[in-house]
Amino acid sequence: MAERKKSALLPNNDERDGPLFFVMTIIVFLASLSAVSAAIAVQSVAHWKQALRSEMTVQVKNGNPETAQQAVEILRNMAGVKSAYAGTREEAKQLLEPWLGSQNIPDDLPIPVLVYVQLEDTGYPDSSKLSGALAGAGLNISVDDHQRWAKALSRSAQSVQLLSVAVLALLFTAMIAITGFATRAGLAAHKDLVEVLHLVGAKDRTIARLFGQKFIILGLKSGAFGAGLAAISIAGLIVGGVGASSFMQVEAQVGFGQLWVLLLVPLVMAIVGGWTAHYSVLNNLRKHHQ
Amino acid sequence: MSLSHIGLRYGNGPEVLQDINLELQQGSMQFLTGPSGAGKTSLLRLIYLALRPSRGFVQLFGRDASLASRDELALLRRRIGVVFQGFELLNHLSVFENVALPLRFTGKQHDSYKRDVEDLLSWVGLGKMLDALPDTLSGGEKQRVAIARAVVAKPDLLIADEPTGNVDPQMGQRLMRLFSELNRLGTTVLIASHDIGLIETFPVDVYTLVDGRLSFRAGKNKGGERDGRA
Repeated sequence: MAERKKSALLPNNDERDGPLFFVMTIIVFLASLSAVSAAIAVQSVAHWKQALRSEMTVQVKNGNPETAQQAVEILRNMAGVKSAYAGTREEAKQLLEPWLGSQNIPDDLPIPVLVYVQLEDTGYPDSSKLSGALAGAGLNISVDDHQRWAKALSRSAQSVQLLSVAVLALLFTAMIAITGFATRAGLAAHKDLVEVLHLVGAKDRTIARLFGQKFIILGLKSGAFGAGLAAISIAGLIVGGVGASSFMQVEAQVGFGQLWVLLLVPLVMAIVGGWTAHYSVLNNLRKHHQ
Repeated sequence: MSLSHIGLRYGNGPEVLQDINLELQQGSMQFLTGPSGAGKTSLLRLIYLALRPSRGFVQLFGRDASLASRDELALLRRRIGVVFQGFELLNHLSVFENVALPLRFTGKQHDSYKRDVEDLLSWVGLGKMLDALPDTLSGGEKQRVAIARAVVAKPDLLIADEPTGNVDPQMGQRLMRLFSELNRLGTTVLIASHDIGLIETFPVDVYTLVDGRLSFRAGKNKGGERDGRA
């Protein structure tokens, strides 16, 4: 005779599971998008801030290449400066193109020369030291340490994070509400089964665990689908973005690096679903059953 | 097991059981009879802790059931085997799994009870239907599964609600012999039945429930008759 295996005490082919699976998949999909967006935003801002922190730009206001070269020499000899080089007039013109166009810049227009300064990772000088050293040599310059942009980026990142956390909280609340409702419906539908389990000696915790396990499995299955759909969507957006803009190449690296969140979201959702089902059943049994 | 001054009403309705006093001595065997609607099933449900009384006390295995926590009630129920009138089999579980159900909650390993369950099912004539689902069984077969489930854990108290109602007389006698054998081994047995002929074949005490009130008649060679109190 074939080895007999223990069957699940709750029926597996519950007809309510189909719509519930669908709804949970959507919730996990949206939660995954939200979580990955938040993770990408945080990581991107950290990446940008790091890039901004390790660079400064010195603007040589008279646009004289010799003055710029003089500044480069001074900067290269300063402690904490990894490299410095002066941009060309053509590079400066390219920077102005979005505002003035490519054809409307006369050759005699005085355009400041930009000196790009790359700083060491640690112990780099602050902008006042650079300004002081260059001003001390009699150069008419201004130093931009990009802090203005870094602060704006921080604020943007915080907004994205807050929004994502709020969306995630809403989705978790929705998951709890749906699971609680489905559990109560399941308990009502299996009233006779629950009574038999009670009468053969099952404790409330045992019955609650059965429902909890069922919802964890359902949560993991729907989570796998939801997170899979989210992964495809995010990958599509990133790959599409890379083709559209070289700026997105950096974001693509960051974005793919954050896909681990897609493993976490369905797992957390499944645990939340199972926990909710477990406690819904316990509360319900204590209130309504002998 | 004892019931003291038990009253039971459903919602705001009238009392369906009134001032019930009943004491089952350990290792005894009794019948409960009475007309349909007299409250037999309600009384049995009180005894197997599926209902709480509106008044009075239920004492089981030396424990006041009204003071027991829900976990303690579960442990008390494990010592009671019940044959339900409607069988109450789980249709998604096989015959084997239905019978083994009480053993799953005692923490026993599958291998430790597999042989016992198979032997018991063979004894009630269902040895070749271990993997069948209840929906595919006849009424009599379902009843035998229900009985096997009730006795598989060798309960201290066995309660059977019309256990021979759906089986032929020969199988009925066989099942009653099973109950007697369990009783001989120490299990207290209470059987609700309409079957006066069956009741008369056993020299045991008989309780009669009429309009929610209980009367007692001692079994053959066991003494006289009295009303209201066991």
